Amino acid sequence: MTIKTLISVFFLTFTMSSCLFAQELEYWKNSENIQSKLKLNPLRFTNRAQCALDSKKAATSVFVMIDSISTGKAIYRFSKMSDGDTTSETKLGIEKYRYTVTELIKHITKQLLSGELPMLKADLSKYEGTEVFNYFDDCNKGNCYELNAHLKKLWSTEKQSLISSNIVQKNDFLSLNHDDIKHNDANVGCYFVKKFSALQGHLQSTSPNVKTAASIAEAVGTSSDLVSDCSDIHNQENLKVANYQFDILNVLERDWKYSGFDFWSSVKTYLTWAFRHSTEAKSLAFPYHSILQNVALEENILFIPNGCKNIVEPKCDAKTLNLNSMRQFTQLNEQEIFRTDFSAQIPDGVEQDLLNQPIVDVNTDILNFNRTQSANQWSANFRDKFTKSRGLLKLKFINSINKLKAIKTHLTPKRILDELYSSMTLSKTNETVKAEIYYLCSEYKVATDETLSFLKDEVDLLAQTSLLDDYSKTIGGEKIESYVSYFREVSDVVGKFCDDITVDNYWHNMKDVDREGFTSWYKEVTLDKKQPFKTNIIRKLSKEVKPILTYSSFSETKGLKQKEIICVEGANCSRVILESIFDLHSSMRYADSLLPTSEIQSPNLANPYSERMSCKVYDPFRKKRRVIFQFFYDIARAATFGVLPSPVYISTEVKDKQVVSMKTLMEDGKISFDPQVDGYKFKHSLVADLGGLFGIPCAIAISGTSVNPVRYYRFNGVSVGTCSETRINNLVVNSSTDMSDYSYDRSKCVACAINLETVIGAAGSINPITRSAYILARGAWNLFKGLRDPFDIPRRWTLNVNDTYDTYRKYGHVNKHCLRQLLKGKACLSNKCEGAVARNISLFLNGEIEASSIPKKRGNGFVKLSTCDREVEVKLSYNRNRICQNTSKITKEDFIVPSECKIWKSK
Amino acid sequence: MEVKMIRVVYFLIFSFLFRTQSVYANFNVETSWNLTNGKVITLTCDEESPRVCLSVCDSETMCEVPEGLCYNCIGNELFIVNFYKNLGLTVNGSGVNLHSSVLEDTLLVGNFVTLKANSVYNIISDYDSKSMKRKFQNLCPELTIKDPVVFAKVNRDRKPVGLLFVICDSEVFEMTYDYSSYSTSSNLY
Repeated sequence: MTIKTLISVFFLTFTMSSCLFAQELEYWKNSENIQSKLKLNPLRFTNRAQCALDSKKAATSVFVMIDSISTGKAIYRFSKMSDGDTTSETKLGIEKYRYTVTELIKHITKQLLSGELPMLKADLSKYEGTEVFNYFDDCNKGNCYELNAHLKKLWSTEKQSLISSNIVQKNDFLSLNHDDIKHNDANVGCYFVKKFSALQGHLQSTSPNVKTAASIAEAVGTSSDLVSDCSDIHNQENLKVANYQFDILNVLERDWKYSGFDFWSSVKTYLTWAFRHSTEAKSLAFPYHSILQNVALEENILFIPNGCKNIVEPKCDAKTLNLNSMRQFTQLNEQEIFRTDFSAQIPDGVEQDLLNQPIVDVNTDILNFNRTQSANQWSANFRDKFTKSRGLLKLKFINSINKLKAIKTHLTPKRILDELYSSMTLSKTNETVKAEIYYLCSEYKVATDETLSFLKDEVDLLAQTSLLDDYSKTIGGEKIESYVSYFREVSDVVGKFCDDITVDNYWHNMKDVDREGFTSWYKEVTLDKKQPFKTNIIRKLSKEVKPILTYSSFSETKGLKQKEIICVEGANCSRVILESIFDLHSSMRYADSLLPTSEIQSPNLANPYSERMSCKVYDPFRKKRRVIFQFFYDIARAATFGVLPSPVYISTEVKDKQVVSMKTLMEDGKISFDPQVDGYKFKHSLVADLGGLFGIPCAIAISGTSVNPVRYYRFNGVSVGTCSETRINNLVVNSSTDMSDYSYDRSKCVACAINLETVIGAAGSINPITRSAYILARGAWNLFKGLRDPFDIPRRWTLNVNDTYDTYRKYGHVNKHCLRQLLKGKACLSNKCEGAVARNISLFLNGEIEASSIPKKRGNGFVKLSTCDREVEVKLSYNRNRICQNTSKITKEDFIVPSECKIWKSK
Repeated sequence: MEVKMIRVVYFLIFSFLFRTQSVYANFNVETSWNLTNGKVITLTCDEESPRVCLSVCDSETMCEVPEGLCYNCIGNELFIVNFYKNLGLTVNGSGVNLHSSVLEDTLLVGNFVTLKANSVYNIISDYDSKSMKRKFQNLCPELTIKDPVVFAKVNRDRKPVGLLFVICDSEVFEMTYDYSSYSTSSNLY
């Protein structure tokens, strides 16, 4: 009886406790069609000023756009030649091409993160004085043989011996992370992007809100419609262009700060070598490697930062500006491309755009992601405009070199002069030729006139640059300088000819000239209007007017073909020279972005402030500086009224970086006013003007020198520094909570400084102040208004997509409280332990949480996964204060999985 | 002076002999793609005049020479674009018949790539374009039985940098960037 009873009691207790556990499991609101966690970095929302600041940082998330059209055409031709099934072979070839590229990127990033592959420096000057510098330098000039040999060594097993002999740079990740276990977590996520969505929400909104968070969670919930694993090559329908998103996960910020740009430079450099020469590529691309290795990889791939950060450190140089101007290709309007500077005959250059538009929108879907049905459609539009512009520029370049080469060979300047006089003779009976001479003289006048020197300067610039020389030689041309010299000689001849005929009263019976006959560049300059690009000066050929310079395939009997004609008569030939020179000039302008290059390009499309920051057209404190400039301007105006600049003085022993507020200084009687100022009124006016800023604790920043024996300090202004806000509230400037001792609660937005200047001279020498008081008060008001601008005080928020998804799944929504938690980088579940379990479980087990039971104070937790009918137990530990200790580290050993659940992840 | 004269005479005789030989050297050049080995040049020689094959690979009848990488040729590389776009305009055969030794040397050194009307590298025109075939045919002074094959020079990076020659059946002709033709306006008007 006793034993039986005991057994019964035991079983009853066991059953009850099991039931109890089962009852304690709380099912999450959304537990159907659960998607797996995504290997994505937290989304980083930034406003304009922060986005501008971010441009100096290295991206951890990038898009890789792969254009497969050339590859597809090549595989198609190969298949045709070998009588294969062109459709299936072309598809397979393109898939293999993409697969090879993406897998190589993954391989390289992993090798770099683990330190198995040495890091290469992005800033080549760091290699100066070494052989490696010469390798890169030669490669930039078109000879990559030595660099390739060097990369081959680094790629091979020889690298370890090179590292130990200090020939190559040790991987920074190795040295920095040597003792840091987190280094092992560094990883890479790779997705094929089907549709741009809230998963790229930071490109569409400057700050997150409840709605944004919900849409991100919903996007994770439907992620199979939006992204797919990039290895899944058969599931990538569009064969033209593909977009992939690579996220570098779990790198420490301090490492990334020093190595981020080197990292991306290394990825791109190794990729260009490995794609053509590595055994890995040979096996990945099988059986098409022998064809694919001939693909112009650098032309067909773009690395684009997914956000405001950069892949290449931006500089204020033509290369950066040109690359970033590719942003224009994201416009959806079909005709837009013909209005861009790319297709202009006389391009203004990108810098004009910067100067004309220093302030532009950012993170408000400026790339038009939301206006396209799919990522493929977006990419196709971008690619179409990009390749059209590139093609146009290449043809411009090729045609102008070929024409200049032919004309220079046959027509010396002396001969041109003879031809011009022949044309003049002919013009007496032929109005078309006379008009041609009119166009000629007008165009040369504008192009060479000293007063319109911008064109002359542009031609000088063309002669000085050797950028296009190699391209010219590739197609059988000479150095560009020789063509410019020839053009100058011709200019002298034409100028003299035009002067002579003007003196001879040649134009006196001239009829109206059709303005359409001018070249596009001339109309652009004189009408200040972009013209559609024309490759040829159209001329009506007739029995009287026949071409003097043609390609050898030209035959009158076969009919006149425009492309076989180089030029028609003296005046026309001279105009063709001029037009070709301007075509070369426009090629030079955009050569960096549109002509072939030996490196993979990385335009920053999402951040127009990248180039604005580097060129100092905009800085994140621009607005503040502008208002401060205005403030000083007001001071200067006050000075013109014959008074000293400031009515406010601080007569106290203030120390640099001391934290005080204006309010405190005033209350303590440390602020004095000019004797002629009504101190009482001014005090109130100052309080009113500075508003919230009046009370905030600020660090004193003293400029000038302390040579003043009376130690007077002039109040110079208030500045607000970088804001790294973790809360969704507005800028806190008037509350003592700013100085909270709890660091996690403190808003770091109030990085404030009161700027003081030492005033040289004794108080007694201060002159009366009258009218300037008002001006200065107004200046202070403007300063305050400027500083409150929501766009120009840098702010950022980060949102973890997986945590947001878990929160949304558990509660069916994301409320304000949860949003605040999520923005602090915390999961918003029952407690910290549940957050840690939800975040880490997918590292070890297949499946996602459907229900959970995590105790708040002690004991183990239980979770029910989508992949198993029974609960998984999780060992949790709590400290004496009953606070969960497993916040970040939950290991494999902490999970107790029922034996019937086969859910362990393989290594 | 006499020595110089003798040298000139020897040179002329030598050139004549080789030129005669080249005319009679019966060889054929074909290109093909092999997915394992990449692009291969197949040189076949007539048993009665095996000299070209013998000098390339010691075989009397056939040599297979791997062509190697053509850097960036699938894409919009300027050389390739200019070649296919301006073939017959600025890119032409000069009509100068070269000695077959230039082919032998080129195949032995390996610093070349070959271009044909139907080529993996020709993504400018349609496959099997009659117009492109005609342009290639026009590179040869006479109608050929086999498709003409153009040899272009590559640098150490295997990037095409210049024109070499075109194979028209068993003859080698110089390729050049044509500098067009000029007639003074006084002749025209």
